[in-house]
Amino acid sequence: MTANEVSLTDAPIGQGKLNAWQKRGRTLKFKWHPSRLQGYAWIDSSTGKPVKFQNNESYLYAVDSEKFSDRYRKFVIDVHEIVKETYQVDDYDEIDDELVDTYFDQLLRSCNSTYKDIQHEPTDIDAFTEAVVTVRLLGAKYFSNNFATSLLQWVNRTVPQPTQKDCKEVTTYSPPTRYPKFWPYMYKCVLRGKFHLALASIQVSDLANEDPAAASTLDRIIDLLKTWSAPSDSGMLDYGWRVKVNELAEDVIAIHKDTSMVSVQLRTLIKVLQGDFDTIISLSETWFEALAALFVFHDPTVSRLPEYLSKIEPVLPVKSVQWENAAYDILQGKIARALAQLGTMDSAIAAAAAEFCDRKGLLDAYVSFVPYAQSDIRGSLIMQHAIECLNHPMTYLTGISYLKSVDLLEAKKAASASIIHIPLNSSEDAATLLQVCDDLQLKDEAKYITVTWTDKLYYSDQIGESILFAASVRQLDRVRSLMWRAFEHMLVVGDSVFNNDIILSQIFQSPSASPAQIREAIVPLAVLSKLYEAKHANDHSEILIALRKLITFPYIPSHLVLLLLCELIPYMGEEFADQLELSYVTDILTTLERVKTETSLVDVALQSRKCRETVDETADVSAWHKFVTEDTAEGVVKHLRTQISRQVALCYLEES
Amino acid sequence: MHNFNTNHEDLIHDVSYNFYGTRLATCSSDQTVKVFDLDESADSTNWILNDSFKAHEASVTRVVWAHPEFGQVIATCSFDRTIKIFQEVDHEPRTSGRRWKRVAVLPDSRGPVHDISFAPVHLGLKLAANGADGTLRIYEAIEPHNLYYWSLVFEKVVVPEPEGAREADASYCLSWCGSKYAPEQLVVGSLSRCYIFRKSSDDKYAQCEELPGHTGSLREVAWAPSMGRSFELVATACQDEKVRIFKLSPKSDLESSQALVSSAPDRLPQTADTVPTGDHKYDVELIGEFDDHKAQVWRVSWNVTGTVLASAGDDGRIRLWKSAYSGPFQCMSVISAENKCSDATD
Repeated sequence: MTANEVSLTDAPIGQGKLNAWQKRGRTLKFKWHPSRLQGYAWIDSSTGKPVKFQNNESYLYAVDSEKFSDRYRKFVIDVHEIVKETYQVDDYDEIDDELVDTYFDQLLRSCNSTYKDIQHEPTDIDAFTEAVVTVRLLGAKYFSNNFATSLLQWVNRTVPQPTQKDCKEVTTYSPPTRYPKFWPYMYKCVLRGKFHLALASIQVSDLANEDPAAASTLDRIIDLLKTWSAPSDSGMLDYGWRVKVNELAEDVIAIHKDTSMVSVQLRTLIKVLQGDFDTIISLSETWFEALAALFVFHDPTVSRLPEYLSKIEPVLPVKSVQWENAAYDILQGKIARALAQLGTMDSAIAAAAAEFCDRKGLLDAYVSFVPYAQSDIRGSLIMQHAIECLNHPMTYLTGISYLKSVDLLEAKKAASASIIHIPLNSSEDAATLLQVCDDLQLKDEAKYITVTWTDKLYYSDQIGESILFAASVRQLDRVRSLMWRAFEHMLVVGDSVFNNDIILSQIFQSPSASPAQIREAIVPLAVLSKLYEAKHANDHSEILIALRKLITFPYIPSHLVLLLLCELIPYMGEEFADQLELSYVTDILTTLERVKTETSLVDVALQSRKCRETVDETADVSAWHKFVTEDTAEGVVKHLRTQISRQVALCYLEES
Repeated sequence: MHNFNTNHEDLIHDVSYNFYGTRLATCSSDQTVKVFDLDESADSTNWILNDSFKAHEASVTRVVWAHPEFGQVIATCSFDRTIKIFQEVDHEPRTSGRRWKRVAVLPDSRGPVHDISFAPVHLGLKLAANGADGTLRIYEAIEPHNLYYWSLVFEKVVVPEPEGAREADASYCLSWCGSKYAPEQLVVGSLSRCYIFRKSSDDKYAQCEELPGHTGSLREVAWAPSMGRSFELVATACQDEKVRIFKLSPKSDLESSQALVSSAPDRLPQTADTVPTGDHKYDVELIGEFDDHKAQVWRVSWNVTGTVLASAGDDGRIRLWKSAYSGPFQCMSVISAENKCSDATD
C-alpha cells in the first residue's frame, strides 16, 4: 500500500515554510469524528513557549478521508439487497443451487454497471477492478451453466484481445494475409474462442490463391471453426469434432510437406485446435489465455486445471498482481484463500461472494479461518464488510443488517459497539434500530437509542411525541424521566413553554385516550398544568390543592421541591388561613425537611433567579420572589420557615 | 465539511465531539471553552456557536463530553490544577455565557491536569484524570443525575513527579477501553511509562501490564474500539517520534499467573494494588512501530470501527494507518498542513 499525500484545504503552513513553522514551536493535532472518516485538525504548541498567536491558528481544518463515492455506496446497498434475498429462503440448507446462481448473476450485473459508473470517481478503482475480475472468474467456475464458455468470456473481458483496432486493420488490409500480424491475429482469435472473427478474416483473405494446395485444408478448417461447440460441464468435448481435427492434422502432415508460409501457419492453427500444450503455451501472451485454450481444446476436465497451471507457470508469469493470485486459487479450487484475497480488494463483493459460496456448499470444507478465531470465512468477510459499512451514514443500516446475519458473538459485540453511534433522523430509524436490538438482545443499547431519539424530539420541542415514542417501545423509565424534565422546564419557565406542543396538549385534554403507562407517568405534569390553569383563573383553592398534591407526590425529584414550596409563599398569611389548614402546613414542614437534606441549594438559587426573570410581573400572586428578601436558596428556606411558623400560629388561632 | 474559525484568542489545545458528532467543544490557552452545535437543517455542515465561557484560571488542556445518557455534560481540565464539570442549562439563551453551568470542581491534583476522560457509559459516570503530579485519579458521580457530588474512588502515583524536567517534555495521558465485553480498564501514559490499569475481581483498580519501549514522553494513548475483535489494540504517540500499536491478547489463567511473577515491574513500588488479583490478563505484543513522522507525534486517534488510526505531529502531517481486519497496519494516506501549491498563509 503506497501512501498518497494530499494537503488540507487552505493549508495553514505556506509552501516550504514547514521548518519556520516548527521553529515557532507549533505542532498539528487531529481528532476523528465519532462515527465517520472525517475529523478536524488544528495547530497547537509543541514547546509550551510563548510565541505570538496568529489568526489562522484559531481555525479547525476539515479532514475528509471517506474514499468511497455515493455511487459506490449505492452499490454496497444494492449488493446487500441481493444478499438479503437469500435470507428470505427459510431453510438454509434447502436453497436451490440455480437460485443462488441467479443471485450471483445479479451480483455480477451490479458489479458491471458500477464498474462503468465509477471510472471517473475518486473511488479506489484499481482495487474494485481487481475484485470484479476475480468475482467474474469465481462466477464462471462455480455459478455458471458452462465453465468452458464462461472461462473464455472471462479471459476476453479481463484483457480484451484481439482489439477492435487489430480486427479493423486485418480486414481492411489488402490482401489481409499480407498484413504483418495476420497470423498472430488468427491464433489469438482461435485461442480465445472467437471463431467468428477468425472465419471472417479467412473469408476476406486470399489464402486459397496464395497457396492453392492449402485450399482444401482451409475449407476443412472453416468447417471445424463453424461446427465447434463448447465442451459440456461434464468435461466432454464433441467427439465427432475431435475426430475431424485429428484426421485433418494427419492429412495436413501427409499432404503439405512444403514449408510455405501458409502451410506452416495452418499446421500451427490445427495444433491449437488439437489442444497441443507447447503450441498453445508458446502462442499465448498471458497465463489465463493459455489456460482457457488448454481447457477448451485439450481436455475440459476441471480436475486438470492445476496440471495446466503447473505447465504454464514456468513459461508465463502467473501470480504477478493480486487478482491473479486470487484467480490462481479459484482455478486450483482453493476458494477460502481466494475469498480472503477478494476481501482485501473489495469487502462488499467479497462478503456477497462468500455468502453465495456458502449457500452453494462450497465452503463446507472450511471450518476455521484466521481473523476471527471462532468464525468461518463467510462470517469473517461479512464482519469485515459490515465494519466498513459502519464508517458511513449511508451504509450504517446495511452494516448492522450484515452483522445480524452472522451468527457469531463477535458480530453481536460489534453491533453492540456500533449501533449506538448511528445518527437517528426519524422515529422509523429509531424503531428499526430498536428492532435490531430486540433481535440481538441488546438491552442497554436499546435504552441508549431511546434516550437519544427522545432527547432529539425533546430538544426540537416535541415533548409529547418523545413521551409517546418512549411509551411505544415500553421504556417506562424514559417516559418518567422525560416527564420530570418537562415538569422542571414548565415549573421554571412557565406553562407557555409547551403551548405549541399539540400532542402534549392532547394527552392533557383527554388522558383516557393515552396508554395506561403514559397516563400514570404524566400525572405530576398534568397536575402542574392544572396549577397554571388555576393561577390564570386566580382560583386560590385549586392552586393550593394542586400544590399540595405536587409537594406530597412521593417520587418528586428533591431539587424541584423547593421551587414548588416557593409557589406556596404568596398563599401564606391570614387571607388563606382557612385553606392552609394544619395538616397542610404539616405536609409543607415535612417537605421542607426533605429539601434541607437532599437539595442542592446552589441549583435552586440559580433556578429561582431564572424564575424572577420569567414570571409574569403583573400577576402578583404568582410572583413569589417578591415576598422573599434574600436572593439565595438559603434565604428562601429561611423565609419559608418564618412563614410556616406564622401559618402554624394562624392555624391554631383559626381552630380556637 | 469545511474549515471554520473558532475565534479562540490563543492556541487551541483540544477538540472534542459529542457522542453523535453533532456538537463540538474546543478549549484553549485563552482559558475559555467554546461549544458549537451542528446546524442540522438541510444537510448543512455549519457549526453554530452555542456558547463560549471562561472555564479556568489557566490554559484549558482538555475538554471531553460525557455520554448523553447523563445529559449534556462536559468536563475540562487545566494548568490551574483543577477539573471542572459543566452542565448545559436548557433555559439559558445561547451565546449568553451562562448556557453552561459549572456544577463541580475537582481540585485534588497537585499539578497541572493534562488529560481527562469519561469512562464508557456502561461503567457509569466516571472520570479519569492524569496530571503532572504523576497521579492517576478516578472520580465517580455516585448518582449520575446529581453532578454536584463526585467521589474520588481511586488515586495512585503512576510515576513520581520528575525533578527538574522541562514542563514541555512532561506529558500525561489516558484512554479507557470502551468495550462492554472487556473488564473495566484504561491505559495510562505518564512520562515514558505506559500501563494498563484494570479493575480486578475484588473491585479494586490495579496496575497491570506495561506497554514497553517508549523512550520519550507519551503524548497520547488511544484504546481502539474493539468491534468484536478477540483482542484489543492500543496506540501510542510519543516524543521519541514513533507511533506504536500494541495488540493485547487475552491470556489463559495459568499463563497469566506465571507471567505475572516474571513481569512485575521492578521500578514500581510494590504496593497492594500494584499486583493485580483479577482473572483477566493480556499478552502484550508490539505489532506496529512507525517513525514516518520523523518528528514528535502528539496525537493518535482511532476511527469508530478501530480500523483506521490517525496520528499527527510536529511534521505538520496527519498519517492514516489502516489494516484489513486482522492484517498489519500500513500508512494509507498522508494529509499535510503544508500548502503544496502556493506560498500563501504562514
